[in-house]
Amino acid sequence: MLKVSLQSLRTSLHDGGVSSAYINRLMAELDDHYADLEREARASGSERPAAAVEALRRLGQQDAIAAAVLAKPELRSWSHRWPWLAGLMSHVLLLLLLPVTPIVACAQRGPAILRWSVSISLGTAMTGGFLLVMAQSIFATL
Amino acid sequence: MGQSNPPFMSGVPELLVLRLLARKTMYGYELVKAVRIVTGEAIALGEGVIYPALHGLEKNGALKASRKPVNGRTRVYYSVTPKGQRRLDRLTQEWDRVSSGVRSALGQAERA
Repeated sequence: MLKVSLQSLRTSLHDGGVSSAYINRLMAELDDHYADLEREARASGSERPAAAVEALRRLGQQDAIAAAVLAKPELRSWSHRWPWLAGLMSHVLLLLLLPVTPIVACAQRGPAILRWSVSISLGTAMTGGFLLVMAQSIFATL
Repeated sequence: MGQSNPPFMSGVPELLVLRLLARKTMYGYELVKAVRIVTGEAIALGEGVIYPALHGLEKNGALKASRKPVNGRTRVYYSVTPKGQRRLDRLTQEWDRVSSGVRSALGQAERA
């Protein structure tokens, strides 16, 4: 039930640039806390629905929890804390990917590329040979 | 030259959390209960906001979190690190300085 109730908190944190790993950890701890609060309310005589309402009330408003997380930059993902660094790294990675991609492709599709190269070379050699024969026969008639 | 005041109420939960965790390793629910007891429920916050405070202190190296399985669930216990202890000492000194200043001001206001 709590997981459903805290969906808007999860969305707010995600939109605010908090990493999924941290959100999952926070949700797990809130879930555990909620279970303790609900058990405490039931132990003091509340029925299950009333205990659930009381537990959610004591856990606090989701907006307040989200604001407390977002007020701490150290809890946000590094790409939201240093967007310029994330942009720079994505460009560097793309630049590295350009020369690496053909090498990786050759390594993975080696036999196919070899067959293709041999076929092209044979085709070129045969065409060149025909052209040479034709040129020789033309020169012989002159 | 006097030192500048630290953030007033915003520093209090941190001081309380560090003070209580310096005494005993606790998990979130246990810690909130302890805060309520030691402050005579003078400080009432939504209990969920304790976790961002704990996680921030952990990220800054003032607290250490350890996971323990309890009744089929994994519970996160927090304890104060040496860095956290130094921070607690500093915050306690700040609080003593500010509160004695406020007490003095209140005493003077009463006499005036």
